[in-house]
Amino acid sequence: MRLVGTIAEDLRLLQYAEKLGKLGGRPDGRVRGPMVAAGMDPSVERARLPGHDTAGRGRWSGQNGELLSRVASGDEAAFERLYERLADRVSRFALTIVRDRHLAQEVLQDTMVAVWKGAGRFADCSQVSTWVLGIARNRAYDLLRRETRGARRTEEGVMQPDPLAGVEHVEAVRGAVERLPPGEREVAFLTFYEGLSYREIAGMLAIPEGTVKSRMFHAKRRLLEALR
Amino acid sequence: MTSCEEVQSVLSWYLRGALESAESRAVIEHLLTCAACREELAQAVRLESECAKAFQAMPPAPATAWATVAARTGGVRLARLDLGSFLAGLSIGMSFQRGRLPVFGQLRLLGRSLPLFETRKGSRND
Repeated sequence: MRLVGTIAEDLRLLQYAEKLGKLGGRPDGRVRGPMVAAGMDPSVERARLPGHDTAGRGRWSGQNGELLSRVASGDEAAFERLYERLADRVSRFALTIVRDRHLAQEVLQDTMVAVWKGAGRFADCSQVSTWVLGIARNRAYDLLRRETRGARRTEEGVMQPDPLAGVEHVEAVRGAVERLPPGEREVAFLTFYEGLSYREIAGMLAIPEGTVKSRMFHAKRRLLEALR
Repeated sequence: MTSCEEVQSVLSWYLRGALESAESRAVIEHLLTCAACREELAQAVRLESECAKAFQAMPPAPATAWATVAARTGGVRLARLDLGSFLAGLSIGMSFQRGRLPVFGQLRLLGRSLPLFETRKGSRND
């Protein structure tokens, strides 16, 4: 199996690097994953999507960072570009949480208005998108609490059938993702769609890293069950 | 980190290279000796792409959302009153801009407009 070969290669390189007295890996202290090594890097695919920065974590880095710093000085054109880059991601994350299109739109709008107002306060060491998604998440849960009080909750299927897919198991995965408990669903979204590490997720959700891992463990169990 | 459950709970991040070096190493070492976890890794690869596709298939941001965001941040025109003819006249309007309602006046002359006044000074402090 190609991956096992890559893993063995990973280990060999690590041992070699250790012998040389330095640990192989990326500047941020991570080792490239086997999907990356085997040319199946999910972030490559993701980077082609608008709004995903290919490189750069940290304040103002990457295209989103540059745009946000211009937004902080009141640049409306930069704000529109930043909106275009992030709107789909924010909207999908909101849908993952609230499972209602009208509410998700409200979350998106409130989030982007908050980004406009608070751009100057972005001082995190995370990516711009992670910061924005954090705002969206808070807003989404605020709205959910409000809606639960008002008892107007209409859970709907939010994943549209893709006319091109036409494969049964794709439908099965979609259904399984929608049936995940909310906590596991958002961890799955942030991992599989956003490509965040469990540390970044723990930071955003303000929960222990162990909780993120166990949610992922259970989510995977449920999802694999649906794939069988 | 040596137990199967621990390894299996971080496989998705391992695949993406989203683990620290030491963690990655522990996962690799475990995988080389544990067939069950290697099987789990193969499943994780499959799950990875399937789930990414499922989230991709979610509807994008609604087209109408931007207009609302723009109205709440950049400003939109609320009303406009045109006096006179198109040869010469006066326009007075009001727009909504970041929580305030600036008023503007324009003198129109032969299809061209000259700004007379606009009450929109001040920075965008909220």
